[in-house]
Amino acid sequence: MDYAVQEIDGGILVSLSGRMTLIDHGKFREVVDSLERMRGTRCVFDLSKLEFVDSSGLGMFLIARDIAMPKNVEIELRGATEGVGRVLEIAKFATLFTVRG
Amino acid sequence: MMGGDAGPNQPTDSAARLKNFLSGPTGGTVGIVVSPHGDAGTIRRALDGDAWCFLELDPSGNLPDVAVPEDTSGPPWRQLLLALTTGTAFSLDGAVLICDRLVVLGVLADSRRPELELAIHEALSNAIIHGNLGVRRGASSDPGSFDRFYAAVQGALAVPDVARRRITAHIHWDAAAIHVSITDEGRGFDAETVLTVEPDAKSGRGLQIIRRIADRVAFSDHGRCIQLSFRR
Repeated sequence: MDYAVQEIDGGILVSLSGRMTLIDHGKFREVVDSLERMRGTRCVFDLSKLEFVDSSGLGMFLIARDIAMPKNVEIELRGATEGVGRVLEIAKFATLFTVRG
Repeated sequence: MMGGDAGPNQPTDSAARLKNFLSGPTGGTVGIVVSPHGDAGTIRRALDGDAWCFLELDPSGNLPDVAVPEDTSGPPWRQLLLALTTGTAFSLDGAVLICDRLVVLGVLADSRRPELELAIHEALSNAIIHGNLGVRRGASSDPGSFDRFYAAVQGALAVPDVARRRITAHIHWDAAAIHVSITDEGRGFDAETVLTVEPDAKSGRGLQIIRRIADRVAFSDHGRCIQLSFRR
């Protein structure tokens, strides 16, 4: 998995690409660090270039959510491909995050 | 155990057993590749070369102790079998290799591929991490928990006798469905005790995902073998 973080109006945009599995935990820690340091109340994950996410990847998003909530940061998962979108649906992530197409 | 008749003078030497097998009823060209190298490139070349069975030798040069069914159906074959060490299986995207091959063979439609790849990936991950490596506890709410979980996985992989344990993936199909069996050599578990996880659980949702995707899920050998079926 690769990632890029940029500041946007009101928060940060995190663009993920590639495959997100257990071996990406180190990189995702860096994403979480950005979330901890951020100003604003929005954290948008752009998933349009994310090809695959497994159960470990889902867990990483949930850890990010645990970091965001005390800071009143809303996490949005945006632009998931059909395959990744199906995983988010199976995991009922729409009950936990703002999920947009 | 290899395919072929087991007689009173069954050789114990792996190379001799293999030679006997390949000399058996199915002849020399049987679509089986035996290799000391279990990397993705070697496996992919074997499958692209119309092999249906890839057997990775362990570091001591021994054949895996798996039942290799005879196959006189092809080429084209109607099954795939990968028998890898745990170290190798962890290092590569086995589900990608399997699904790539099934798509090339016309067995798996592109539209179905994402779900099957995920289910097979989760089944392989469970067999590797929870089965053969014996790492039971997943990540928790602590951001450092993934680091510790991964460290536990790496620690187990560093033990030679653990890393050489076998992961076997056997895939076969008919007109109606694709059947996948993933087998490990771990302690086993009681699948009935794996309860539904909450949506915000940081780990333990692999089996839940598998059950949502596969049309049939069954366990055998005290949880060491998971059998999945997917309608085509």
